[in-house]
Amino acid sequence: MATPPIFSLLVINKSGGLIFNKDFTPVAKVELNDLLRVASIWHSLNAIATQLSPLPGCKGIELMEADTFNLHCLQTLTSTKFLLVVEPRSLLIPAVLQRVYELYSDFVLKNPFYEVEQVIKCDLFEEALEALMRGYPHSVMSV
Amino acid sequence: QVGHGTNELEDRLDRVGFDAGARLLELVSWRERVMKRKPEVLDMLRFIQGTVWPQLFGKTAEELQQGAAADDEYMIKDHELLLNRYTSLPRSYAGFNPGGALVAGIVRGMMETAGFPCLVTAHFSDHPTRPKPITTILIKLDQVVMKRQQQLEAGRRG
Repeated sequence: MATPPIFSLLVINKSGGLIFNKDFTPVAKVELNDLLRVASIWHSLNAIATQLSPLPGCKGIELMEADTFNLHCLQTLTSTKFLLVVEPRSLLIPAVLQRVYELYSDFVLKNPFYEVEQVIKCDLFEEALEALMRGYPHSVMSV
Repeated sequence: QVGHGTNELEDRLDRVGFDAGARLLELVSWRERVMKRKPEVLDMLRFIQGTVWPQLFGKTAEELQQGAAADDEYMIKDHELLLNRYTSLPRSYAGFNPGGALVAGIVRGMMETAGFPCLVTAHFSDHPTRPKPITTILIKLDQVVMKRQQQLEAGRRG
């Protein structure tokens, strides 16, 4: 079975705090504290990028390319950021990010026990994410 | 008066549901052009299962049963309660049925307003053919209702 090229998902709230992270393939273990720092750094870089951009109307960083991975970011109107760490040649990742956003608005935001901007602990959200990643890329083809 | 809830959240949901249920009875009756009151318990329960449920959730409640142990108990079962579809329970609330508690209040509001005082509670229960637990709404009718049912039946026989 081919390893899915989506490595992990991170969700950052509007204050720059990491509220969710999940690995979908076996990846190098990162300490939670380090992940929290990485999320804060991304949040700040994103804000700086909107100021540095030579083009007007820049909202943030959408894609960061590296040798061994790409990092795609979807920033919502509420400043929640969804980051997907994927293999460099993966396809349809913006569509995957849209689906993740839909699953977030269904299984996290519609959960009466969830407090907004807090750490996400919703079983149904994780189950839906796992199903989405198992079905990738077919699960996002019709989007 | 509140239906017996085992915790404060259940009581609050019951009270909110009760107010909604009392009004829903009028609204659904008007929409469905119900012309007469229903003095029989089973007619009222069938109305809830088969007419109110589709108005609220787009489907009839899957099961309506009388309690095996007691004839003053009835159960309405929903295999996948719409109100719980997006709810993930925190570990500290294990066993609690939040959507069910609100629906139990709605059912109690409708029953009491229609003249059937009762206590209504909601539980998760396992079902042989369903992957996830289903919601059971347990209705325990007041003795007043049971006596009246007996009189109605005696009247029919007489």
